[in-house]
Formats: sequence, C-alpha cells, structure tokens
Amino acid sequence: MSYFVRKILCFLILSLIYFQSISQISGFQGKRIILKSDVSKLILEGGYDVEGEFVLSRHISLSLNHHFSNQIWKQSKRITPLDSLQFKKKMIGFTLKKYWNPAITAPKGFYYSFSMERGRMDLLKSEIIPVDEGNNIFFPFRQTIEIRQAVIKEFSLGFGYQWILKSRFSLDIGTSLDYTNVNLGSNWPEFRDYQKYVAGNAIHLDDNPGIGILFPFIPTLDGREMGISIRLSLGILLF
Amino acid sequence: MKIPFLFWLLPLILSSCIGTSSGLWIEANPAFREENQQIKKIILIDPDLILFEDYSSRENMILDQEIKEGNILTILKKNALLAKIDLEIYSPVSLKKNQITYFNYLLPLKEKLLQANFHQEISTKRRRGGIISPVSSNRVFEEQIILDSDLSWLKEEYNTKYFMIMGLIGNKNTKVFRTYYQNLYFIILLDIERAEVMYREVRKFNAKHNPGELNGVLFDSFNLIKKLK
Repeated sequence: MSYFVRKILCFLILSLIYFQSISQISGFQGKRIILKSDVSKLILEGGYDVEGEFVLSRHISLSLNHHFSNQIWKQSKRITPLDSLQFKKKMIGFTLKKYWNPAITAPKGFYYSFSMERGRMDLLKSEIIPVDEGNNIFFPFRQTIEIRQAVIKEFSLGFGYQWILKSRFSLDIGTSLDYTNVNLGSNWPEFRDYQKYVAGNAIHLDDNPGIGILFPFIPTLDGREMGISIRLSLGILLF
Repeated sequence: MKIPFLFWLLPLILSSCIGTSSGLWIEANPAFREENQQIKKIILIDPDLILFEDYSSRENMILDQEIKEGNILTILKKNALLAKIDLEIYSPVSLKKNQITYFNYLLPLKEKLLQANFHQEISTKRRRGGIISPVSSNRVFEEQIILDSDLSWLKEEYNTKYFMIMGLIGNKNTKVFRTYYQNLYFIILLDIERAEVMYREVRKFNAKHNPGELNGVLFDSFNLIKKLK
C-alpha cells in the first residue's frame, strides 16, 4: 500500500471519529454513503471513474475516488500525424465538501470543495509503420518507440450543487479550478504539446496570458497545467 | 484573464442569492439534551400546513391543499419512524378517537403553547455574512417557557409525556424567469409532566412542496429531536 493511500485512510478514520463525536449526523433520511461515477470524466477521458461519498457531519462530506483512463492523442506539431501518444492514467484521491445551506444537511445542496488526487501514468509514444510496401500491400503496424512513467498530482478548489432525486439517486453538478503537476523524471520536450490533455480539464488556462498575473507563484513550465474542470456525477444513495 | 475572475466571483454571487433565505435556529432545555434519546412517542397536535401557490380557481386550491396536507402528514410520519419516533397525529382530518379530549384539552393546549411562545420569540441572531450559527453550538433558552401543570394527566391518557405542535408555511412566487419557493417550518416540543417547553426549532429553506425535497428536512428535524447533544 502506497504512502499516499495510507495517508488518505488515516485521514478518513480520524475524520470519522472526530466528526461523529461532535455532531448529529442526519445524512439524507439517514443515508450517509453515496456511490457515484463522474460522467464528465468518462466523456472527456474515457475509462472508468468510481467515487464513494461519506457524510461526516451535518455539513461536511468526504469522497474517495478512483479513476482510470486510457487515451490516444494523434494531433501534434512536433510529431508527424502518423505518430501518437497514449496515456494510461490511474488516479486515486479524496474530495472534501463543505455544504453551505444551514437548513438542509449534507449531502444535498450547494457546496464548496477541495480535492487532492495522485496517480501514476504510463506514456507510450508510438509510430505507425506501413509494412510490405514492396508488394503494394499496406498493413499498418503500430510500434511503440518510447515508454515513460510519470507521477501526477492534482489539487483543485471548486463549488457545485448536489440534488437528491426520488430519495435514492444523486446528481452532482460542479466546477473547479485545477492545478496538475506531472513529474516525468527528466525533460521531454514533446510532452509539452500533450500535457493539457493529461489533466482532463474542460478549459485550459495555460493558453491565457492573464494566468501569470493572477497566479504568479505557479510558473508555466513543462508538466504543470492549470485549468477549469467540470463535474457531472450520477450516484445512488446506499445506506 | 476574465475566466479566473469570474470563477471566483460566481460562488460569492450564488451564496449571496441562496443564503439570504435559509437558516436554522434551535433552542433546547438543558434537561432535554440528557433525556432526548429515550423519546419513543410524540403526540402532534393539529399541524398547521399552509401552502400558498398560484391556482386557477378556488376549487382547485381547496382540493390541492387537502391532497398536499395529506401527503405531508404521511411524509411526517414516515420520517419520524425513520428516526425511531412513533408520531401520532391528531388533527381534524385524521381524527378517529379521543374526540372529546382533542377538542377540550389538546386544542386549548396548542393555543396556550402558541401564546407562551408568542411572548418569547426565538433568537435569530446572525453572524457575519448572513451565516447562521451551527446547530452544534450550545444553544439554550434565554428564558424557560413554562405552562400550567394542570394537564399532566394527559401523559397517562396518551401514554407519552411529549406533545408537539408544528407548522409549515410555504410560498410559491412565479416571476418571469424563475419560480421561488420559500418555506418556514417550526416545531415546539412540550414535556407535559414538567409543563416546560423542551425544544424549539425554526427553519427557513427553499424547496418545492414535494416528498423528494421535504424528506431530508423533516428527517433532520426528527433526528435532531432524538440526537441533539
């Protein structure tokens, strides 16, 4: 078990003990656990996404999530159109939500959120080689020419609204400002063109000149990406 | 440059819109916090359910009010049961037995309770930014509400010492682009043996008058009665 996972589990257990002791938890009709999936991530990145949201107190909830995606990008300035870069991303993280409305308890209503994610990514740079050209038969063959492993860290601050439908299902719509750090281990200039796809954000702020003025502490370097992401989660209230 | 600025302004605008009309105020007797876990049965006297909506005709209004009132009584019972409280409702709609006791004693008791509470309004102090103090804060009555103790025999009659009155006043406003729902919900719980008000709750919230929206609020209310510390 990695150090990060252990840290998350310790945080969850301590939070559960602390919040259970100080407050009266209602949940929604006593249901405090929601199993969710982020549809927006599935549309933008593919793969799968699973999230468990636990109501810790009247207005605070903690989510643990796991996301896997496998994407292939072909467009690039530096690499020829026949070449491609494949990302295999596995992420695990948590989201802390503070529900705002004092009269309605979590997990329903308007909330602010803070989330941290960490994961590993395999990058496979490949090129397509046509074989048997002499006999006029094209049989495209994809050959992997470079494999790299990277560590991704994501932090985000956001807000959203969660509805409870028919006392059984949940619909969570939100947005957040994301900061993603991709550590490749060494410099890799080709990656600069692709890094904005890694974060899976809907709007990339790196292209925006104003970002340097608003966030001067974050230099725009290789492997660092800022953007605005959207969340559209569908879930089911378990118990 | 416009995007980040808008991004940070949006929650502030949203919270100011939502926050102005929501709140939860609770007051409890110190003794209540020790014995509330033992509450098993509560008698609810004539709940006030007033839902103002736009109706095409008076007939529709009366019919709709009756259906909605019936639905809300069902939701109340269901949520009380989920919080492990047996809620017995005595109102003109659902009256089956103890009619003499209801008209001679329960309705005057409700009147007395409302009168006593009218003279001591709930403290609705707000903190900065319109955010209401959280429930976990140690709220107690500034001045204990006491009634005459001549009705303590009702404990044997109804097999519980807890009697409650509640109200849900809902308003629906339709404007050009949006429909607003504003609701005021209150409950006052009386210990008939001590003749003291044990718990008082006022809640303002925006929600449609349907089970999906009301379930969470009503369950939370009964859950607080049972688990307030």
